[in-house]
Parts: sequence; structure tokens; C-alpha cells
Amino acid sequence: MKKIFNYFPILSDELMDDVFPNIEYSFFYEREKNNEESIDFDDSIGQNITLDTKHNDWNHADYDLKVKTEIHIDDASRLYGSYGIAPKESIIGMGIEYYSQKSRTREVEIFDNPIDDDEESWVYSLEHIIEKGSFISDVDISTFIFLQNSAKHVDQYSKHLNNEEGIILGTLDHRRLFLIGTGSLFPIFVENLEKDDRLWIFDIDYDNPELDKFSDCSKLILNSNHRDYKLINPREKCYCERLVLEIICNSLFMVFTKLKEEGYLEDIKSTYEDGSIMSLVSYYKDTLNVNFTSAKTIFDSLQDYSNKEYKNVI
Amino acid sequence: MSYNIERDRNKLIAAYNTFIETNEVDESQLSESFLDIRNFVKTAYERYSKLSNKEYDIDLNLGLDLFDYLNSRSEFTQTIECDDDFWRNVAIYAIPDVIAKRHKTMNSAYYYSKNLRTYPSAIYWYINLSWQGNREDTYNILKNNSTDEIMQMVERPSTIGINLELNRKIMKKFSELPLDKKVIMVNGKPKKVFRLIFLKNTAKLATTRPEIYPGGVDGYVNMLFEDYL
Repeated sequence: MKKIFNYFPILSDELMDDVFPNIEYSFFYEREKNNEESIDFDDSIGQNITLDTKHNDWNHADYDLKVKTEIHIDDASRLYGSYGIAPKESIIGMGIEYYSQKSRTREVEIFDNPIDDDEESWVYSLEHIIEKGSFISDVDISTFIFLQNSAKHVDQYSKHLNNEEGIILGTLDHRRLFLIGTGSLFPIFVENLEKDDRLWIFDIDYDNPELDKFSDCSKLILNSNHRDYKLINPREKCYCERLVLEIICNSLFMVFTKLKEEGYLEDIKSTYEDGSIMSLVSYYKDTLNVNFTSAKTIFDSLQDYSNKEYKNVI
Repeated sequence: MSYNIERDRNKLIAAYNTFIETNEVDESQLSESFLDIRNFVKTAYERYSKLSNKEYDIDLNLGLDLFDYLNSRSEFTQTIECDDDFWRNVAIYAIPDVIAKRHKTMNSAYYYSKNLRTYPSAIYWYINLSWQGNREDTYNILKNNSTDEIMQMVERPSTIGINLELNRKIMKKFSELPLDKKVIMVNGKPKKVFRLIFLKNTAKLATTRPEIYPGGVDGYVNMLFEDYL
């Protein structure tokens, strides 16, 4: 597995949390000329952002999408100097990268104003247009800081700091924005468990599946310390999307068999509370033809579905 | 008009196997869009294979024609361009005979099993990644390359996507290198500069981006080539 060793200090988690306490996203589109409307979204599932396309006309094929990113900064002076990540008199800039391996696209936009060496609180804002039809299904959005201008003079206590222009000093945030489809089905968390722990753990706990939101009651945990984690990490070259799908199908199988054992699948209605566990069951039954007669039919029909449409599930 | 793309891998492999057995393309089964592609590519391939027996010359000219042709079609969108299943359909349903003539093999890699090596995709993306705004300028920067450059260029997947401007500037800069500077000796062994440039690019992208590098993309490209000028 590729590892990058930095010889210079980069943005630590502590510094990140203190200096960049909040990053906010908002989305807009032009329904008609000069008539911009906002689009609601769900970002409760891991790093994923899923746009709400039920209550507006937006779709990726027909409309551009404006992405507005606002970064809150508190006391950026902590970034500069011997205890920071860049020498005094240097200038730290911010940028956002929009990229997709599937869509073979990568763009970078730089914020107009660099990060000032002061103790004030600021909000930096950047807008970017994702052109219609430019991505196949999703786009990764990565916000980073970099050394925009090097310091002409570096004091003796700051010689250990990177003073090379153009070097990335840290990543503030990374999201995956789903432009098509519903994004990931349940929260996915990447945790550094024990090496001997399982590669993945799925858990679901509900009181009333007709009302409880699926994304609130379930979670999938991926063990980043497992030797095979590289196979399910989208950033790795050996990433196996099919394996990820198998994990998700097995997780869904657990959900459906638990519901079946508890009698919830005897009479499946066509409408339930939006986002509820049973609304997912209804969707899989009516739209994806999952057969809930027995554990075997559930398993077989999930496998059939994943075999046909695996690219659209995750 | 739109492309009806077959995505079932089993059906694609079955169609590929059928072609191996019969060596025939059933044009009646092709949609209008794929039939148009077939007719266009067949005509272009026959023309270029008569003009030159060099494989690279055929790939280059066919790639330029295919790039022009597909980008003139309204149904050929940016998402289709990146759709591996689309290219598999072109390779297996529309032009399997052309690929068989060109490569003199039925190696599945040129048809479906290796996304980046599927023949129509490889020659298309070679041109796309090198495009200089028009056919003539693009031809001029690529005419002295070889099939090795096609492979080095297109069979290089990037988990962070592709910066088209960067690739096109690298190709232009590479074309300006004198022939005797395109291969250098490293530890007594000849190494192709083209490959070394892309390896250096991969390494540099771990810690920087062309857009934030001093001098922007142009400065970044100059940096990539500074050891070889």
C-alpha cells in the first residue's frame, strides 16, 4: 500500500479542529434564467452528501449545479510560526479540488484571499459550478491548504517548517457528492479497530421500523486497520467495488432477515414514512423485485440485483 | 438518438465468444448509432491500413478520426466518453473485426477485460489527452511517437481523476524534445523519458497540484521536464 511520509509538519487533527471549526456546504441551481433556487441535501451518512431531488426539478443531466463552500477560521495565527505548519511571513492559501476517477476529471479552484496571520475569526467562501453531465455519478470534493508564498526569511526556530511554494500542507475536509442516485444506503464509518477484528461490522437497532429512519438505526463500520482494507478503500488502486457491494448486500440481508423473523414482512405496504426502514423494504420489493418469501429468496434476489446493477447501488 | 448500451457482462462475453467462433458481425442486431460507428471506423481503418503498414500510424489517424466523429455526435456526451461499458459495446458489437485485423489477436484485453486497453477507448483517449485544439496541431505533436506512448499515456489510471490541460501540455512539451533526448541512460540502462515524466508527475501529485505550483500548470510542466532538457 502506498504511504506518503512527510518530513515537515502538516495540519494535525488538533490544529484542524481549533483553527477550522466548521465547513459548510450549500447547493443551488438556476431553474429559470436569473432565478436561483437552493437544493436541500443530506450529509448525515459518513462523508457522503446526497442531494434532495424529490422537491425540485434539478437533475445532473439537465442543470448545472452551484456548490458554495464556506470555511470558518478561528485564530489562523496558530498556523504560522515555529509551532505551526508554515513560517512567519509566508502565506497560506486554500483550495478545493473536484475530482472523479470514474469520470476522469479533476479541477482545482483557489480561494481569492489567502489565510491571514491573525487571531480573528473569518468566513471564507468559494463558489464552483459543476456543469451538467460532467460527472458519471459522483464527485469527490477535497478542501486543502497549501503554501501559496514562501517566506523570504525563516528564523532559526522555524527551519523545520516547509517553505516550498505549492506544497499541500493539509486536507481540511473530504466529501463525496452524489449527483445521481441516492448515495450510500446507510452510514459508513471508517474506524481504526484491532488488526484481528473483522474487516466490516454491520449493526442495526430499531424500535419501530415503520417510523425509525434507516440511516439513524444502522451503520456499517469498516476496519481501516485490517490488512484487506485496501480492497474496500476507493483511494487504493486495488479497490474492488464488487467486494463493497457484496458487503452491502450482506448487510441488507441481515436487515431483511431480522425484519422477517420479527414478523414485519408479512404484509408490506406500498408507502411508509420517508427514509424509514420499511420504506427501504417497500422500495426493494416494488422497484428492485426482491422476494421476501424466505431467507433463501431474499438472498438470491439480492444477489441477482447486485449482479445486474452493481454500479448504481453504492 | 441514443446509445443502447449492454451492461450485462455475461452477455458481452457471450457476444465476444460468438465473434471468435463465427468471425462475423451481425449488423442487423446493431442499433443505428453503433452501426454508424461501425461503418465509419471500418472505412477509416481500410483507408489508413492501405496508406501505411505501421501500426502506430493507423492508431494515430484512426484515433484522430474517431475523436472528431464522436464529438460531432449529440448523443456522445461527457458521461458516455467515460463509460467503460460504451467502449466495450463498440469493441465487441461494432468493430470486433477491425480490432482483430489491427491486433492480429482475439486477446480479450482489447475488447472488454481491461478497461484502459479496450482498443477504441485507448485510441480515443490518447487523442483526447493530447488534443491541441485542432486535428493538424494534434497530429504534428504526436506523429513521432509510437504505440508505446499510447500505452504509457492511457494505461495510467488515476484515483484523483485527470487534468486534461496538464496532459495536453505535457504532450506538447514532449513533442518539442529532440529525438536524442527522448531516451536517457540511467545506471547504464536506456530509459524512455516519456515514462519517466509520468512517473515524476505521479510522485509530485502526492504533495502538490499543477494549479498551485509556482507558475501554474506551465510552471509545473516545465518542472517535470527540467531534468531532461
